[in-house]
Amino acid sequence: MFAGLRLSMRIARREALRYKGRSALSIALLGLPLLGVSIGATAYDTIDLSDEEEAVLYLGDNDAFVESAVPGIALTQYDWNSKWVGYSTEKEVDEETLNEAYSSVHTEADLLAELPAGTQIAPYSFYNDSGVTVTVETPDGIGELGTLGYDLANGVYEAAGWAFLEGAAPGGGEVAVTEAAADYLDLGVGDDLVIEENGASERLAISGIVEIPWNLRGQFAIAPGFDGGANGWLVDLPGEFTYEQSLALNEIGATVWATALVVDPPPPPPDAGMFTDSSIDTAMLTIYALIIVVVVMEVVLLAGPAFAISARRRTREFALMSANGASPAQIRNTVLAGGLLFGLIAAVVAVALGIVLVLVGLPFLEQLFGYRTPGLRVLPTLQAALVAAAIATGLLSALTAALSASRVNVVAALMGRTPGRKGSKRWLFIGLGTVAAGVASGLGGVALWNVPLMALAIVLAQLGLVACTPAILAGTARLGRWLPLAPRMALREAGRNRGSAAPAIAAVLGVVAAGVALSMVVTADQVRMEQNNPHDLRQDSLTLTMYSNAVDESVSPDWNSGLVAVEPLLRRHLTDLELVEIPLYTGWGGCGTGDLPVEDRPECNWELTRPEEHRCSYWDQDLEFAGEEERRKAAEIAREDPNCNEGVNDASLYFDDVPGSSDPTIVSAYTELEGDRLDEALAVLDEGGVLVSDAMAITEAGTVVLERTLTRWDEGSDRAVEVGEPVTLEVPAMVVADHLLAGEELFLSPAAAEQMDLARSGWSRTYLLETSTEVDGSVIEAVRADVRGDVDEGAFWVDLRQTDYSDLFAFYVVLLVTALCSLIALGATAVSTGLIIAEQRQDMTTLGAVGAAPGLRKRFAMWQTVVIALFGAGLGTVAGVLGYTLIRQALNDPLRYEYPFAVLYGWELPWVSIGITLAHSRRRAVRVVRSGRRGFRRGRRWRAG
Amino acid sequence: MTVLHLRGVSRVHGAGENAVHALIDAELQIAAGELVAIMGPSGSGKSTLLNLAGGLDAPTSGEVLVEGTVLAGLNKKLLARLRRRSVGYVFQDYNLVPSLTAAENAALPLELDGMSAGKARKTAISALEEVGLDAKQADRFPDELSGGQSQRVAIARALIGERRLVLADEPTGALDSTTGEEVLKLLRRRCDAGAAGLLVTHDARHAGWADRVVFLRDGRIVDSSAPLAGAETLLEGAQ
Repeated sequence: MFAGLRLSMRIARREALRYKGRSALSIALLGLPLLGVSIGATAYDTIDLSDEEEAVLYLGDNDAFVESAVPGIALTQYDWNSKWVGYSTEKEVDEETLNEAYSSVHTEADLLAELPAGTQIAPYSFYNDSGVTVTVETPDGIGELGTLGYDLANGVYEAAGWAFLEGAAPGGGEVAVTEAAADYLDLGVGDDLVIEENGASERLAISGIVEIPWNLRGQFAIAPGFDGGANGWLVDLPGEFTYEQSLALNEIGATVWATALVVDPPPPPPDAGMFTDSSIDTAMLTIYALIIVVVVMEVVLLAGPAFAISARRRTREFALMSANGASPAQIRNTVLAGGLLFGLIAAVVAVALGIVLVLVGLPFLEQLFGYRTPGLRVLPTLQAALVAAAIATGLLSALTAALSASRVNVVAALMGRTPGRKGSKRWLFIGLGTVAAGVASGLGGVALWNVPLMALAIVLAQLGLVACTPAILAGTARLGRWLPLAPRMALREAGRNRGSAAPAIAAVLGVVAAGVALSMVVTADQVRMEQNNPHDLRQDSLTLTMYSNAVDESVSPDWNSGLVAVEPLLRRHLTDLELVEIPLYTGWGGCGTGDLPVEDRPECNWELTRPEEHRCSYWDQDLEFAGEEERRKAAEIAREDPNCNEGVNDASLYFDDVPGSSDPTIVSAYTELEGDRLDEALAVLDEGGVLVSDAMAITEAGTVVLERTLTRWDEGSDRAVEVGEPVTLEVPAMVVADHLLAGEELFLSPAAAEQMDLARSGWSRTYLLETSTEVDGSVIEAVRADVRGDVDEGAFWVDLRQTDYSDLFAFYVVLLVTALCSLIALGATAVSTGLIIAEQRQDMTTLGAVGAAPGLRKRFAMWQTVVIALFGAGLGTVAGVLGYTLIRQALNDPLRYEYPFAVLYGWELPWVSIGITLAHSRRRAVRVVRSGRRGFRRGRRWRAG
Repeated sequence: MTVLHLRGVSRVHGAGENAVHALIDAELQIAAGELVAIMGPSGSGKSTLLNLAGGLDAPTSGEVLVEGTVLAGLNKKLLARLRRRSVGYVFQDYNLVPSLTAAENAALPLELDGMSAGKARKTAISALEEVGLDAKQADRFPDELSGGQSQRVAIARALIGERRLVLADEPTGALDSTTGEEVLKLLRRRCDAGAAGLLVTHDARHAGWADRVVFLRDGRIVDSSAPLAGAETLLEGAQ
């Protein structure tokens, strides 16, 4: 047996060396996706820090970070291995004492009293926003910068790994900046950082550029003179930090994160169970498993045709081996040995290359994730699993070719005859049966929540579609009669040589299926994000808000004079500028109680109500003490109830900044309505009505009912109590898209606002700016700089904002998936084209012999690849959608039972992605046909020699 | 001792109106040490007879026996073993495995039969020496050998080990006449040493090396004569 295997391996090795180009292509097709996984695994292991490494990253050579949790109140700490510490305080502490403790911090003396003599401490925080943000001069104008009030001359920071890339710690009148801040401000050591605060400029010389090892992208200015920036202390003891010292610090209300206790954690308290980490989410594991199955299927389908080409070309060789006594199993082994060999080479190359690429790209990776890593790590178990998977994938890829080689018609092959084609009906039935089995397996997998069944469904569905391919080709070949000569011949040849065309289509199918499935996940996720993020103004809307500098709200500034001062400054940067005021209403004025002293005014809240017939069934459920199953059931019923459409972001705490206007520009900016629909909305507003985004709030009469409640804070009971009876108001209404009108889900008419006794905020005025200038960050900074100098010193300060809901991360992921698919599609097309050229060598020669111009032959070859690309893309899309169906199910399952409803993954097709992949593969195909033909000519000369 | 026995063998390709009778009721026996030439026009069934004799094809009716074993009773695995151990092929266009050296090609049946590579190589080098190829040529790949050398390797492979039946399908078709004569001389010598040979040829001069000549026309054995003299005259009737 082993002698036979050795022979197979020897033949495989020699064949690989004889046809280096084809071997390289096969290895590349197998290796490319593996390279991606290898890079991912290496990068993951490199950036994934253990608890100890994380402690070292944040604390360096220091011993501990001590956080002021509840100064003065003893606490019980549950976690010792993470910066996020769980703790509880003694139960008898009253709320007031606790609230006071929360808002205070330990002094340096408090801490040193509990720690041995010689202990060094320094203020510290790992929160990015713990310092004060200041406005600073930027190259384009005025921007914002975080500050940290640390004295970097204290050796504790250096021990924590804060390293000066240039310069030294700041002295008096100096400041250190992080590298990201220096880049943003375009400043270096010796330059001045200009801080613009309260109408005054302060210049601080930059003494050094410092790196925070756990926050490489943080933009900070650091100097002892800045306020805040710390919520605890970095501690360096003369000896090692002990558990007893931690308990002593717990006694004074401080929590401890110490490297020594991370390495050797103390026993957990008896009631620590509630704070332990939950196990890995099974739903996520399901999703990962399904994605892995999709990728493996892609590789198998992708590399399979390369083996098919090789096996078809070696038919005579296999027949000869058979004539010399090779059994079918030995022939199979010969082909499988190729798969084994290529899989092994692909795995070794992919793993090695992946590790090298991560090593080379480590600085970039650290910048991307924003922290320094302990160095390259390769996740050996996963890499080993990758090698095993690659070998298995190589074998699977070669399996079909091996089976077909072992069934070679020896006599026909030795005589150089082409065996008669068998009908494709058998394969159609097999294919349809396999697809049906896949669907059944998928349904079963979803019903039983069984990963192997779901994975089997993806495999069966794709294989079933591949099996259907010959029949589909044969069927469509009949349509060729209406086509011009070149595409007609191409279609018929694909139908005639379906044994060759089918694996080529399978290759494209594999790529497109994986690309479509993954792109659909990302696209659907993007849509979810958008729906989870209710829109306020239209995307890219530019607004100017003037805030009053007055201490008392009742002293209303002269907004018009402010605007007169600001407008010319805006026009310096914004051409064709038009300003339209956005009236924003608030309930803070007390709804008609503005005459009362501020402290006596009740808080006013208006709420959209629903007619009784639109009442959501979930609202009437008493689920306070319900179990998980009962809650799931109630949520499931609510999902079916059209009246229950509350999303997680629908609720609003305060009735504040609600827009109200009948100006078409403002209405359109908030509702995104145009044309007749906008006219309709304006008509409703002219009638004194409102626009709402909750369709269920509309009554049969086309109105909505708003309900007002007044509340006042009761000091005695320490809670808000209602004042008087609720008041209702019924007004005409129109529905707009449900992701609009964020917050209150309301857009008011001025008349409705008046009826509701709403006031305009005394603190601010907002204007919508329309301009023909392309506005970006630098324009906004430049405007801010002008405005700040000339206006901010007076009664106002001014802010300019641009609405941006876009999620570039998701966009880039889709782009990356598409690019990767296009790249792999290139390989798939090269394979399929090679197959076609190999199979139709004689036809091409015949065409030339009967006088066909090179152009016709070129077009014929091109159309062949178009046929392959079209079929591959079409079937791949079907397979991808089927794969996504299961992944979507896995993603949605945990979300389905949440209330208010989480937005589920939908059915958004990534059309752009599909289009690019298809166009790319077709264009590449033409190039490959041309280069392949040159290769064929070279090959023919070699054979003739 | 009879090495090959075709007993009333027929082979029909296709069915109904499209049926092609490639071989009809063929009776043939070849003993050890005997070289039999098959002659006949194109399409007369020569290659079909050869394929049936080697178990590459199965008869529609009748029986093929190799060293007393009825081939119809063997499954694919046993047929493969029979070809490894008892039957050797020589084809017109050499048919060597391109990724194996001359020695490895010659040793192929032995390695396939489980013999270790080293032992098989030693046996193959002896076999190659017997057909006039030295150790240097043994390590060459097929595309580094001339036509005559390739055919010698094929003959060495056909008779390596204990195999006693050589089936040669126009082994000189791609060779010049001098090399062709050498190849046939080699074949004759191997048969004289105890092998049974079946030689398909168009060339009457080559048939002259055989002990007997069997004529086929339209799938039927129409004549048989041994040993032949003036075979050219007989051929005229078959053209």
